[in-house]
Amino acid sequence: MLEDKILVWKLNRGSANALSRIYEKYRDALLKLAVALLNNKGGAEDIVQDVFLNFAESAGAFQLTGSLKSYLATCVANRARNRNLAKLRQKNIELNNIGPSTPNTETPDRWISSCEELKKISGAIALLPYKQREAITLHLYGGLKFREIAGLQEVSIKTTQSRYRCGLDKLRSLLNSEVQT
Amino acid sequence: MRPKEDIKKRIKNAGIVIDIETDKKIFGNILQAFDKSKANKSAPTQTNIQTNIRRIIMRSRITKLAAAAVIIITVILGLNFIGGPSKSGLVFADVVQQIREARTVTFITEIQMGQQIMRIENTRKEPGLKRALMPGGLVFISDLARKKSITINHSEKQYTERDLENAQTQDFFEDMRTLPNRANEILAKKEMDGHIVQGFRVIEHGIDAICWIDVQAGDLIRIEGQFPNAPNTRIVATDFKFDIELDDELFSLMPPDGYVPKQPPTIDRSEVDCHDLINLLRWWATNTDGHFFPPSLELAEFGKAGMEMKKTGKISEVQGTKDEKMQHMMKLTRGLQFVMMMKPENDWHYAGNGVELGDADTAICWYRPQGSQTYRVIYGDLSVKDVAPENLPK
Repeated sequence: MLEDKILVWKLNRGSANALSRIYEKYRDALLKLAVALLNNKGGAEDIVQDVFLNFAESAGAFQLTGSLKSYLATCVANRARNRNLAKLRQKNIELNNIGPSTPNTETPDRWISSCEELKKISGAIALLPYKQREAITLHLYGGLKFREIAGLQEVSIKTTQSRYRCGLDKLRSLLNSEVQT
Repeated sequence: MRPKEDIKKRIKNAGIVIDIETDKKIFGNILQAFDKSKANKSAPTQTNIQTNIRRIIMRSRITKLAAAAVIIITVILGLNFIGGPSKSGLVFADVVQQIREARTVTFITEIQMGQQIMRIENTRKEPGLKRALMPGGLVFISDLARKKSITINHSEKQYTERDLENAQTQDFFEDMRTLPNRANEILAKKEMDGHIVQGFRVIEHGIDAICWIDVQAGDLIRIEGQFPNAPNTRIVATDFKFDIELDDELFSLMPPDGYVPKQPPTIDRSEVDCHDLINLLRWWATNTDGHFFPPSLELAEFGKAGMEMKKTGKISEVQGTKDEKMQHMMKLTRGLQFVMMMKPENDWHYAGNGVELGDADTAICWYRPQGSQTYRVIYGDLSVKDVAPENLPK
């Protein structure tokens, strides 16, 4: 990802143009990732805005060691996880036993104006155990490799791959049954 | 497709539509955070001033694309009054550093557009003073800090003053200041103008540039830039002299005594819309052989097709004075800009290849205007209709 390295290089030297390009390049993927992890448009918007704000503030000293998309996606995943944990603490239940997330709430002045198919998919993803949810969304929306997801979840690559496969199987049956009903 | 692949595809392709107004506000907040963070990290210095000046000229998201569109239209029309946008890359950190920190610099650029070559003698002094001596005794001087410029025509004893507020220009040397330290490719050494030089090639954002450096002396000898989006256009910059003494008088915005003012050509700064595209389509169909629409409106393809037409003499010559030609070029450029501003949510389609002007039954292009439920369709007779998605051409 030479282009990303150049963009970060320019960003660190004060280029608002580089920031704009990074924002436009990854905004949609990060929003999709956040929606899928939280199943809540409002929360997803807050998180992605927060990630970009922090990223912009780090300009000048930001060091890119791997893929920029993976870095930003990991930031979104961490915030989503913290948000979910905070919610769960209130309910006093285990992370991996998380059930369906809070349904979407519509408020005016929204960043995401429409995402019907994503809403259906994130509704189904919300029914998966959280670690499976993370494995699928980080791989498909965040572009993270299984090795990176395994590092994030502190498990072996095989476990991550198994979570991913299992999750996809469940999703297929959930989404197919939705089509048939 | 296997079921697992199918579900993966469905998840990946799930669309998202962004509210443009809210998006602008959010990016505005992010930009504010960015600016604030920059201000906190560094006290105001000369470098900051320079960066801000650079920001003025590079702020627009589409500036570079617009510049490419200008080049393409200019080359197709065979005009020779364009400025010198280009981009290059340098590798050796010392040379890059020298460019970045240069207080003054002089260099010569030769812009080759097809068979035409335009030579410009450039003189720069920080912060933001520029002087370019162009063919025909034209001198262009600008002061980006004051946002003013003057063009002096010595042969006609005339001058034109311009306000650079909101100007969208691209600048060869300013682009070089933002290049990375590393090249994509290092080329073999060779002899050039009495120096043993090595080439460092940088390919970035639609520009392919080779920087030739005297590796013994560490001197920048030449930069050669090409624009994949503007075929047959090439820029060569040579004779670099850094940090020499330059008199401020060289950058004076005062016209010489006895010279008469001339009004600058009016530039249409209104938002581009589908009528600009229609104008471009009509021009192509009526000025090229066969009355057909262009094969593509994708920048590179459009440029290629235009150059092909030009080479084979199938494009009509533009008539009129230099100013009239300039106005004509700017008008056509707006059509390409309209296409370049299309976003994925606009679902832009072009199907004009092989369609003849006047064919009222064939749709040549369609897109969904922002926030609209219907699509806007332009037909071969250049009429426009709003059409429901289910009635779009298959």
